[in-house]
Amino acid sequence: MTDLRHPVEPTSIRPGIGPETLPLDTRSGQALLRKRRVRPLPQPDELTRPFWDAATRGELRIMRCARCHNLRHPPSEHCRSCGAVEHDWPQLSGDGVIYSYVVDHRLLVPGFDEPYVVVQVNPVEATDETVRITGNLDGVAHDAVRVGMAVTLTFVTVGGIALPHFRAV
Amino acid sequence: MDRRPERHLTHAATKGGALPRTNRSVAIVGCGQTSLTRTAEIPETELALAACRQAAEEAGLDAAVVDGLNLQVHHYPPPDSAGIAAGLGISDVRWYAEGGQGASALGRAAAALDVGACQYVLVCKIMNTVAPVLTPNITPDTGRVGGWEQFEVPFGLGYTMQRVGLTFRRWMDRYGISYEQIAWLCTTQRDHALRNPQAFFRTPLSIEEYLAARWITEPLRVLDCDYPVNGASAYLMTTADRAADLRQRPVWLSSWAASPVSPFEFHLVAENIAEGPNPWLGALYHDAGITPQDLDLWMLYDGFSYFVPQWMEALGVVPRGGSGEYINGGTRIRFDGEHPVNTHGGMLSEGRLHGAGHIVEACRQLRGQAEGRQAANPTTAVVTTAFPNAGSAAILTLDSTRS
Repeated sequence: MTDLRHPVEPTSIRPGIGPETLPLDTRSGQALLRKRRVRPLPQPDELTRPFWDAATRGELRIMRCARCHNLRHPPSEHCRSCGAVEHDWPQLSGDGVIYSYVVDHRLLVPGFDEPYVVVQVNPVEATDETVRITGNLDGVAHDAVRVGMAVTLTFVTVGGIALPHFRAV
Repeated sequence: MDRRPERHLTHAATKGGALPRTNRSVAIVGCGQTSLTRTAEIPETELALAACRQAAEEAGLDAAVVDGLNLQVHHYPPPDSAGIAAGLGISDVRWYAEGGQGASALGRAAAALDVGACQYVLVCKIMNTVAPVLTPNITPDTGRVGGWEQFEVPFGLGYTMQRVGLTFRRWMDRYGISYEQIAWLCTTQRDHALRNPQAFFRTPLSIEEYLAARWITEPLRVLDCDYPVNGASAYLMTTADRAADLRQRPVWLSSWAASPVSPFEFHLVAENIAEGPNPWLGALYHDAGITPQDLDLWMLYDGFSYFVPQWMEALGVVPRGGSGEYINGGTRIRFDGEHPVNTHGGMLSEGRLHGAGHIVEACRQLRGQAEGRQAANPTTAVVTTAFPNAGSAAILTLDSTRS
């Protein structure tokens, strides 16, 4: 029976909030990764490779719509504002402001020691808060992090991939 | 993964769409709920049967008359629907739906009744703590992460709780809601649970104990999380003509509405959880013909504590940014306060039933059967599910002219 008013079948809601199932082999794989304590790394694809290639050169480049010029991140096939496909990858300064952060004590993605800070940063060039670069904050005690804190990007290379980290300015 | 572009649709119903009106054409006529346990002591089929039989019994009906069934689980494999139907003595299931939760599933069952697909529907939520939580989507043999998560998981951001933590932190910072105010919500709900014999938590919780609870991912403590339980919750619905002659006063479905936004766009619309806009909620008030001020009881989804104040603001029952002050001190949201909130203890203290417990409690309160925690003559309740930008809500009312 199709729910006329709900185009998305609610069983697709993510667990913790809603229904989901995960194959058991994936779960045991997660346990294995946790045991090995290896930091997960991105798997660049057609859509995301320009970001990671630029990062390797020490440049922060973000997808921008060629029609309406809105920046968007993470990259997507269509512009989230106007739907256009055409885009370019302008270089940004790396300066930004902390949009939000969490201090993780317990969930612990493999390769991270507790407690660690995850920040989301709005680049100063973005006019839209949804442009948020997720990274880690170095050199700031976890109880000193604040929303609105000015930060700048540095890259940390792990396994041959340059990952965005931030430090306070 | 869902790659559809982000949408902000205006709900068809706000424009007077062609869908059947649910304003008091369908009622909940009986509820049932098993006890809630930490470990799986009873097979899920038996849990479902117990809750469903209790709902039929409460309505004064033989469960065998039921011809519509919606079984909700969030684990795999799915429940033994044929076994459950047979156990209830149902020979002819004319309408069956699997999955869904809370207010949107309530609305879906009502729509089936409205179009005449069936005459009596049992909706049953079965919870099982064996169900997995979402883990970061890391390819085990390579340690790599694809899709949009490649921009999050390599930085230690891989769990739903962390992502909602980011939205809560942002919201707290913007509107000044404090940990102490959230503490009042959690302790008030715990006090409600102590008055609910079916609730999982049986011990009081103080503000100090809340504030001393261990962090999971700041700003979220362990006590901000709903509590996983095993159990089942069920309610029986039917049409207005059939509802009139049953044992209980009918609890009418005045309206329901569901967000058109996919939860898979969650990472992109996180700020909307707290701040909207939520045009889909317009249908809720439009179809019921009431305003936010008419809602006596607020049964608000509390998968995480912070969803409760965020729902208050999304529903417009308090001003934007005003929820912390409303919660503070606990007196206004207590069962004997001006707008009781989660009088069963909510998922934080009764146990995680994905919003099914909120519906059952709304019915008990409206019918005046919430012994020990009964609100003063409520006639209108709002029930919400999931979170405001990707959730659902329903308004339940009592016919105050019939007693």
